[in-house]
Amino acid sequence: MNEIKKAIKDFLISKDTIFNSIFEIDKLPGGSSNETWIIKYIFNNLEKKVVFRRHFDGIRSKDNNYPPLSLSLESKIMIEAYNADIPVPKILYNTDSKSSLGEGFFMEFIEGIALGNKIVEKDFLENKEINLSKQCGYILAKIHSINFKNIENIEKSEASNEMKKYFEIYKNYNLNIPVFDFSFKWLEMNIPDNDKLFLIHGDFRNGNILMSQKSGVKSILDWELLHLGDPHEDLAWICVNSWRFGNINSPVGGFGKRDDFYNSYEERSKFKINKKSLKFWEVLGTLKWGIMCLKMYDAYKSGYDKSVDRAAIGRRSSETEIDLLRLITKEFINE
Amino acid sequence: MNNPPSKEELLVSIINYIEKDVISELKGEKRFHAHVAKNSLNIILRQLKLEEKNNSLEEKRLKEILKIENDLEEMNKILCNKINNNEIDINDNNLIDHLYKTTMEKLSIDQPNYSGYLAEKNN
Repeated sequence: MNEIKKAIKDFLISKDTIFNSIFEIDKLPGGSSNETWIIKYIFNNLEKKVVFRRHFDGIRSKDNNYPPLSLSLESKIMIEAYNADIPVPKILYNTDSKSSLGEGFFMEFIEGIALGNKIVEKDFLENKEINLSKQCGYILAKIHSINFKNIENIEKSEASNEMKKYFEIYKNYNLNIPVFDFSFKWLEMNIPDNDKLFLIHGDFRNGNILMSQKSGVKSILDWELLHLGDPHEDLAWICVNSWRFGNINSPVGGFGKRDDFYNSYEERSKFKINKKSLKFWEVLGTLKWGIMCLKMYDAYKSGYDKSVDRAAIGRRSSETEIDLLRLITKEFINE
Repeated sequence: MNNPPSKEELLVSIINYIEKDVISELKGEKRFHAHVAKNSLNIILRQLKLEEKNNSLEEKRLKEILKIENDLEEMNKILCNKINNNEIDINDNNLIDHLYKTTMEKLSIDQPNYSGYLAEKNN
């Protein structure tokens, strides 16, 4: 057992002796700023799991302009969400930056499926009464009502700031993609007003929502992009065509209808959704994914990750170009 | 001039090899990467066939919009700058028409199965 695995086991045993039964510890592939580990142990003759998340190598990288969210802050928000009855893994223990594991946290493991392309399959749900869009709208309304007043240091990022951030990233690559410049110009001319800050999940989309075939939404994952901002950002992101996994005619995550999603959100939140704001954020969301594709390709170019898919993903940025043109120049939400 | 096979024939032989003999032998991440490798070769195959024609169409349109003669890369840079500096109106129909055509040409090489591409094509 290597050093980090031993440190994980020692830490857990110091918290609870049931962890003497740990028999397997594995790091999941992927993840650029954070690592995720799965720890298996035996309790009452049954195999159980817990999850450990920590910064890459235990260190929160500060050598770029946009360092990852502190995991201590991420866990504080997840605890608030858990206490507000939002489906989210329960946080078990935190580790601090001075410990041998570095900054991170342990959380419960929840069974479910998060693979977007599987969830959009026609017969994914065993129970046809379930409406995933309505569930998502209801849960998102609850996320946006999380009380963040007592939690310090949550970054605020609204429309113009988000737009500028991605424009800067794009321009740093020294590429000339006219549809991207066209879209940024459109965004600049259509910045929405937002008079109240809400807690935004930041990555609420198909792929980050754990689902069960029997009961639908089980858990909301990947809170690392959370910030304070405009609720339309989350409402739009899940509808970006890149997250419909080919099911272009089911705008909500490739599995549902806009009306179901928006109505259930409005009913729960008492917040009136503004269609112009939605359009702004759907355009920006689409553009963000296009730029993220270039960012992942840049990891190949810089030599950081020489895998075949990091190279190829650069060519997926053109997918967002057609979505951007269609969104901007055609009537929005006509689907 | 080289003897046969052509570069296209060579590529097709590798694509078939990956598809029939390699992917079935692999699991997990390696299998995924073999799929991606096959897709990348297909992009190159389409690019060999379409790039010259696509680029000459793009170049022709750019010359008309910008009213200058330059190489493709430089003209795209100028177009981006003009959009950023408000020297071209983003509601201009010629601009929008050019962007649509260029994007569709790009996707005919990159991802001709992409849902947004197909939706626009069948429009």
